[in-house]
Amino acid sequence: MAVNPDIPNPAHSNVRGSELRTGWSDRLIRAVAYIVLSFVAFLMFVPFIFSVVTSFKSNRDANQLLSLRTLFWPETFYLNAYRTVFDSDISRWFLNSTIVAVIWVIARAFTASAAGYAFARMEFPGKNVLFILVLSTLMIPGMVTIVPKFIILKELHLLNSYGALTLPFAADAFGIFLMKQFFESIPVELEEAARIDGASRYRMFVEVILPNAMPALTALAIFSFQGSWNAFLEPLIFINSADLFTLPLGLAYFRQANYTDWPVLMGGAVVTTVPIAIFYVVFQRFFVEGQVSSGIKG
Amino acid sequence: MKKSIGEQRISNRARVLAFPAAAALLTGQSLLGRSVSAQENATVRLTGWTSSPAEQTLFEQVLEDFKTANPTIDLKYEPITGDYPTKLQTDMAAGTVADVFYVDSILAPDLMASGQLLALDDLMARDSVNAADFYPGLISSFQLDGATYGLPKDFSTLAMVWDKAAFEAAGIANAPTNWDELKAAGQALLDSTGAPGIVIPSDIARELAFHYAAGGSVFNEDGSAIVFDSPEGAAALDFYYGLYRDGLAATPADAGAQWPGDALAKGLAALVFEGNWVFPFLQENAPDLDFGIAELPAGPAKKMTLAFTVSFSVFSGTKVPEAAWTLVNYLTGPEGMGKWASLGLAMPSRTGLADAWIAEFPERQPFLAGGEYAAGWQLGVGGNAFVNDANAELQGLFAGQQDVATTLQKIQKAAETRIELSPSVETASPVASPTS
Amino acid sequence: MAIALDRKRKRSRNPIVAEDRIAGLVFVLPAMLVFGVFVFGAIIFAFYVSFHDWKLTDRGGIWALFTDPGKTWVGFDNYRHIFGNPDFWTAFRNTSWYALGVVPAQTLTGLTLAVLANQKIKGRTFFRTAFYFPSISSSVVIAIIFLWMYSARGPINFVIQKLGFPTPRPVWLSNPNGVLEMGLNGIGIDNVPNWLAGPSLALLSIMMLNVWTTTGTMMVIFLAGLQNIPGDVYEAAVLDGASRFRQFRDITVPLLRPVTAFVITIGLIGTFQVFDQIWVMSEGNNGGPFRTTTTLAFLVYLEGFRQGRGLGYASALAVVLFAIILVLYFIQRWITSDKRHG
Repeated sequence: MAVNPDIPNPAHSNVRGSELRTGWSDRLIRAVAYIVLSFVAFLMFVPFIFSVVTSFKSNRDANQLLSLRTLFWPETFYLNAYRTVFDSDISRWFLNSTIVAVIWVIARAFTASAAGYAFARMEFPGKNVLFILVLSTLMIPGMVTIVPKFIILKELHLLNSYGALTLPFAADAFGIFLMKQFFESIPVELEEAARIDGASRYRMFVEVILPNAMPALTALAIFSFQGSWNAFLEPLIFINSADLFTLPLGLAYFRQANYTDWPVLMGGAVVTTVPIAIFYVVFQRFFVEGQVSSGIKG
Repeated sequence: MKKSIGEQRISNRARVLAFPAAAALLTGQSLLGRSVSAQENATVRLTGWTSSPAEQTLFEQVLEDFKTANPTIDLKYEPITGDYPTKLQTDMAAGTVADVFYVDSILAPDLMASGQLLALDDLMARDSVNAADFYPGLISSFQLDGATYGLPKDFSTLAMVWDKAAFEAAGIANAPTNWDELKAAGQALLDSTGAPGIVIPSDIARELAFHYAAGGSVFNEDGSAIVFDSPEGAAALDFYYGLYRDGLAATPADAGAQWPGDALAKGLAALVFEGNWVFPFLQENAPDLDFGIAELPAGPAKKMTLAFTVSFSVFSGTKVPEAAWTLVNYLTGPEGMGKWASLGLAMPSRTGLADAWIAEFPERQPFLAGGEYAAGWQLGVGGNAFVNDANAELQGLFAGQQDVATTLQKIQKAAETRIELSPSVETASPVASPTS
Repeated sequence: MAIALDRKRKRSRNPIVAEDRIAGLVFVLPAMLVFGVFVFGAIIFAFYVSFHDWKLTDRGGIWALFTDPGKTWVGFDNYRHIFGNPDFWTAFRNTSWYALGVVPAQTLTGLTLAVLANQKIKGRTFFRTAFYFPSISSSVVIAIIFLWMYSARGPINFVIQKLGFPTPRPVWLSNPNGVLEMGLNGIGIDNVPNWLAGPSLALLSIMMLNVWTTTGTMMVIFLAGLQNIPGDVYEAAVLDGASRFRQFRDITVPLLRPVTAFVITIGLIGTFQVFDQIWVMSEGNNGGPFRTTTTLAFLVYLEGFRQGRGLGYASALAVVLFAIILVLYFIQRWITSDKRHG
């Protein structure tokens, strides 16, 4: 599991993880660190800042040559762009993305925790082979399977439905690793106690393991939510009706419909990013942890 | 036992089948003679693309009229935003395509050849819709082997549109009428503002007009070979690219716009070559712009332009052919088309409606005049794929990656690879007969 | 033999273990079912389709491939056409440049930022949050924002002009000129061969965008790796009189090897699949300008779904792409594990 960087671990020395100080070079490096990191953080934010600023300009103003001032502050504030944005089907796209994401999370929580538990605790025939197969799915590019998925979904009459966006993705390797990791770290005593009470694996799973899995499940939920929210290729190929567009797809077409109007495009970008930004800032720890845990050990 | 049951089953089936057949025979005459609007409730799905919200609103007005006139038909209009050809074909593959949809003339040959479109001749004959009422060059784009697979809903030609104020500031008195004058005008614009005044895209859908105007063609006389790479073609390409190379023209991206009309609206261009679709755009984005319109300047060989048209076609696998046809007939009939054309986006494809249109938009006469000698935008089966390849080569040319001769050769090769030659294909026929 | 003995031993033990043998399979079943149909089955299916000639517009649907395979069977023709098709080699070249540029860049910047963030500085959490933010935004949103950033009157050109340099013509995303070629021309070397021209300016723009987006992810992974190195190791090194630089080179780098390998692997796999940004940002939405932003993954889409050579050809292309990724993965594994032994 990822370690919280701000709480010192008493098991390690008090200069955890970094090279030990050797005097003046230490302060110099720290100063460099602050400068570089701040500059890079600025670079990370600046495109978003620009997009917000542009979204409040009129189309004419947005096409004027920039000056240092107009880069960061519109000369005059116009709200036309946002009017166009909210006139579009953006709320529909948000709704679709949310529905799909929720289904993803539930499906993945189920498949990943079940499979993760099996790999963590149980011995069964073919366990190693199956695990390698799970591992191998990481390497398969989406492009390779997109055509067959299209054909399979078509024959199942699932094209152009929520099913097309969720069924093929109901399981993923990262999630399985994450849960496996986590289950391996749960003390065996809990299960042994349940065993003594005569519980079967299934009962153990539901009554003992799952309730204790909340941290990992939360990380998995956030991770899956993020993956679903940003998916573009599959909705592009599988979805044809405008009322089923997810956010990235809707945005891509919004861009084509308004491609001459920068403020409108930036407005769309802002409206799409703000909710996820807020969500991220509040839950940022889980975002990062999910990425890291499955990465480091996996 | 089995045999007799089998026999029994067969005879049952025969009886069951016989009844509707007989009934059909009896009512057949009346079925055919029955007017379509008395049909049971049918749901017809219509799709197409939208080039702007303004256009969509206008189109929906026309659809409202149709719905009022045909209350038994439940019309569902579901425009496709974005990549229309791909979406359309994906829908066809998935079996979820709409009943009636737009077909651009460049894509028509592929769709006709693959049997995805319904032949409309019987229905046309039944409802007295005459192919001759449409401009020949337009409707022939949607005909194959004597069958009609769509009716053109409107058309646009390319013409010159310019910013009158910029012309005045540059001292250009009259619109250029040939290539030399065009160059001179470009130079004047450059001198007066310091930036290129012409905006041209590296797109074969514009360069082709110049290609034809220099006397070049794509196919030879009987359509059995590609002759894009020719001295005339080289002259045209050299002129078109030369505008950019010599700094008289910029591409939209360089100017900071998305397409030439956008550049004109944003004051980043003074002269562009576009079609009727530029008007609603200008009305919405640059209502104060005072612009002039003229036919494309004549090339060394002749005056030439391109005519772009789109048909309403019916999916060959539709479950509601009658209702679909009713829709198509209305939208391409004098009433529906008249209403659509009066909204100003494009010109009517029915010859009979030309006068009314000119009366309403007299200043756009150059577009209609172009129809008399324009070449249709169609290049046979594989034409669309060829266009993509040709545009890539033009991009390379404009970036200085290859010279004119190489570009021509590669475009020639692309045409030979992508286009299926069939000697009966007529592509450069004029839209209207010269005397109309 | 050993397995049979194993089974016997297990059977003689706990009956719960016997339950596990079934329960285990039951528990993995949902996941394996999804994988079986939509991943492994799909790959096999892709193989099958790759031996046929089938376009989206062909009538009869997919069943024609099964009921009447003779009609559409073309054997290895699709594969032959791929290797004989300049479009494929262009895409291969583009994708290679892309990976060659992006993977080292995002790995090095990720590592550098992580090392810096790992110093005893305040606000490490803030920096981590800031850097990771682009990774969670939608790639489409970022592509749209950068469309404006790279436009003729956008901020990037503005900064370049302010610094006194000329802005590229054609403008960034429309510019198919190779950057290496331009550089070599600049120092007087002409006639640069095609394969050495480097990524086009348009492709480079997308690459820079990619690095901007993913640096944060790599940084976060490296940071966690760094923090997993116990401080005692460094203490011992200091007692031995090692400078900070020596500490970094001899302790940090070797101990980070597995993390680095992981970052490089996901970087490679990621760059070979890049699609969303290309779709949004390529000129004419067609893999332009002059096909210089067509990557292998995008070519699959173009050929299969965009009036290309059909889904059969696209499937063959996808299979080839998969093979390339596998090869790269094993090469990368071999290199990093070799270093470990060496």
